[in-house]
Amino acid sequence: MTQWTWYHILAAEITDTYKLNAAELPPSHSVFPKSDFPSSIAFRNDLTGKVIEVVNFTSSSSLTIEPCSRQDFKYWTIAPLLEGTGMAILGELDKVITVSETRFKGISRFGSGYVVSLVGAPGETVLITVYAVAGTTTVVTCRISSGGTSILHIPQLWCGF
Amino acid sequence: MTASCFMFLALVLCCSSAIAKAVENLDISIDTTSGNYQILLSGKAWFNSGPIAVRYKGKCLSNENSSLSLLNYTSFTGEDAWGQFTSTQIWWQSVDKDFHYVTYINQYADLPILGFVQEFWSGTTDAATGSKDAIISSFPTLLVEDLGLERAFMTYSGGFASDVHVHEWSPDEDIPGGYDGGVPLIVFDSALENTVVISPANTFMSASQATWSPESSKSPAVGFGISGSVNDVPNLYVYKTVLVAGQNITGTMLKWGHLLRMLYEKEDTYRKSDFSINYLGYWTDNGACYYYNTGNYSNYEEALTAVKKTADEEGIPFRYLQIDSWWYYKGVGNGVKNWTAMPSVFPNGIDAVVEKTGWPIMAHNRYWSADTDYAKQNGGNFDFIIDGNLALPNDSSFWQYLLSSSKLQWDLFVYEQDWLLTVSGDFAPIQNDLFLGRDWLMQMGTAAKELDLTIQYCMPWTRHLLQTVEIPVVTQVRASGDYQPQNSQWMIGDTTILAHALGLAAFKDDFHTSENEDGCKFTTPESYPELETYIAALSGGPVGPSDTASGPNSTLILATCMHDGRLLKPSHPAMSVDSSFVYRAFNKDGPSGQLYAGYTEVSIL
Repeated sequence: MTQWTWYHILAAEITDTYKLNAAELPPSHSVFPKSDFPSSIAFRNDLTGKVIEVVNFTSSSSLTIEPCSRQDFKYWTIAPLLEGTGMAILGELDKVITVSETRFKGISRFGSGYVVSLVGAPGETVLITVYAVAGTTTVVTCRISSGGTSILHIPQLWCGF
Repeated sequence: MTASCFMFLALVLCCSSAIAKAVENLDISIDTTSGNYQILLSGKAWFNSGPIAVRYKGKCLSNENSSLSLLNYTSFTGEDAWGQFTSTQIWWQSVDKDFHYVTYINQYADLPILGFVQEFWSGTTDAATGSKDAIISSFPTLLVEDLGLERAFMTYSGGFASDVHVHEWSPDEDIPGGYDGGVPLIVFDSALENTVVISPANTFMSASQATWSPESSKSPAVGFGISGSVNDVPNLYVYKTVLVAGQNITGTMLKWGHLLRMLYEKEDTYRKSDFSINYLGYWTDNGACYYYNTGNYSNYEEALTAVKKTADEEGIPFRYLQIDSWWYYKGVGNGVKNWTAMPSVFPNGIDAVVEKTGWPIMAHNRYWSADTDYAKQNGGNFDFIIDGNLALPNDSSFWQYLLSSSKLQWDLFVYEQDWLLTVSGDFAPIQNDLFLGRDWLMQMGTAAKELDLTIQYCMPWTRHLLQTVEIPVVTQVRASGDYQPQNSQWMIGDTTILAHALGLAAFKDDFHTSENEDGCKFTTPESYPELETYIAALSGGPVGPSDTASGPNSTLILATCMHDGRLLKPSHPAMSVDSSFVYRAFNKDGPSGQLYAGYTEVSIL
C-alpha cells in the first residue's frame, strides 16, 4: 500500500432509502473496494466541528442513505483506521474535504505510531479531529510554522513543527 | 485501381500476419470475405456489424447494395502509442472503380481496445448529406439488437454535455447522436461486469455518431464517421474510432480517457499547476450578484474594490478575479467587436483593478461579431472568416496578439472561451470544412501555451471536450448550465466523469453563499448555499463564490480552502456512482437521486 484513502460521499434529492455497499466505491491506487476494504470509520459532521454520526465500515458494510432533499443533503467521510492505534483521522471538521491532499502531505510510521505531515499558510491554525475506537474524539490544534508545515503525532495527539 | 496501388497491395500481402487473441473481456471475430464482424464481451456476442456506408459525389455507397464491393483484404501487425496490434485491412471499391476506401480493424495485443479506421484512399467530394446531424461515412456500424443480454447505453449531449441519456440498449430506443452529442457512447450491462466506451479517436470537431436504418437489417444501426455537413475529404485522409472495454462504467470511462490522452501525449502538468484550479477566486459570470450589475456602486472598479475590502476584513482569501462578458465591446449579433475594457465599466482600465486588488484576471470571451475590429475585412490586421453575423479568426498571429497584449496590460492568466456551441452550431464554414474547427481551437491553444496561459471551455458540446486531448493548456470545463439561485445546475456528478476522464477539472460555476444579498442582480434567494459550497469543493475544480461585497458567508467559503486561499481538494473528484446509471436504465439496483463518491489519497512516506 502506498497511500491511505479517505472517501467522500454526498447524497441529495434521494427519494428512497438506498444501501451503498463498500464494493460500489471507486478504487484508488491502494484500495480496491470490490475485493477488499480496510477497516474504517464512516462519519457525518457539520462545519462547527460536531460529529453527528459514526459507524464502523468494512468490506462487508453498507452505508444507509436515507431519503434527503437539497436542504438536508447527507455527506459522509470514510476514514481508515491507522493500524496498531485504534485511531482514525477525521480531519478538519470545519472544511468540506476534511482530509485533503492539499493539507495532508504524508503519513509515516514512527515507532508504534504515526507522524502526519501537514502544510498550510504560515501562522495558520489547523484543528484536526482524531477518533479513537473507544468512541472518543479529540481535537488537536496544529499551528503552521513560518516554513508552512506542521507535524501531527499519533497516538500522542500533539502537533509540532 | 492504379498500378502503384496494386503494387502496394502485392507488397502488403506478403507480410506476415498474426492471429489476435482476446484481451481481458474483449474479443472480435472478422469475416474477411464479407467485411462483417462480431464484437464479444466475456465470450458473449455484444454487437453484430452493420453495413459500411460512405458518400461520394452525392450518392451513398454501401456494401449492402453492392455499390461498394470488397476488393481485397490483408492482415498485418503494427505498433502505436497503445502498443502492438494486429490489423485486418479491407479494400473497397465503387462499381465504377472511381472511388477507393479502406477500412481497418486494429486489435491490440495488451489492451482491451479496438481501433476502427477509415482511410479515404481516393478522398471524397460532394459528400455532404444536407444535415450536420448525419454522417457521411459509417464504420464501425453496430446493429442495435436485443441479443438476450440486459444492457443499457449512456451518452452525453447538449450544451455543457449535460443532457445525459441513459436507456436500455434496444432497437426501440432512440440513441442521441448528431452534431451536439452522442459521443462517447457507453454501453454497459446491468451487472456492471462489461462496459464499452466508443468515440472518435481523431477528427473530433468533424466527427459524429448517428443512427440509421440499413436496408439489409431489421434493426437500426449506430454508425461512427465524419459529420454529415462535411463536403470534401482529401485523399488518404484517415478517420479513427476507438472502442475501449472494461468492467464498470466509471472505470472504463477513465481508462478510455487516459488512452486518448496517451495517444496525444496530453499530460496533466498544466491542470495541476493552474492557479485558478488551486486557489479560491471571485466570480462575476451569469448568476453572480455583480453580473451586468454593480449594485450599490457606480462602476465595477468601485464594486470590486469593495469586494476586496470586505474579503480582507473577513479573512476571505480570494486570489483571482473572473470578469465576464459585461466588460468588452459588443458588435452585431451581440458578438465581440473589440476585446478591450469599456471606460464606462472600468474607468481606469482593468489594470487599475488589478493594482488595487492584487488579483490576476480570468477573462471571459464569446463569439466574434461580423464587424469585429480585428478582421482585415473591417480594417483590422488579421485573417478572419466572416459568415452571417459571426466571424472566426483563422490566423495564429491573432491569438498571439490578443492574449499577449492582455497578459501584459492587465495580468490575464486564464482565457475563458465561452459560446463554443454557438460557433460550431451557427457558423457554416466550421460545419462544412473538415479541418476548420480543429484549426480554430488549436491556434487558440498554441498561443496560450506559448504565453503560459491556460484555457477554460464554456458552453461546449462533447466534440469540444474531445478536442481538448490535443490541447495541453485546456485545463477546465464548465460541467453544467449557468448558475441561478436555487436552480439544479449543481448536479454535475455525471459530467464530472467525462471531464475527469479527459483530464479536465469540472467547474460547477459561481454560486452564492448567502440567501439574501442587498444589491445583488438576482433577487431570488439562494436557499441551499451549503450544498452549492460542498459541490464546488468536491468537484476538484475552481471554486468561485459570487456574492455582493457585503454578502459573503465566510464560514462556508473558508470551508473550501486554507487561509491563503489554497483549495482543499479531493484527489479524485466526486462523481455519480455507477449504480445510479443502472437505476436510471432499469429502475432497479441503484440510488434514486444524486449520489456522488470521490476520495483523497495521502501518501505513505
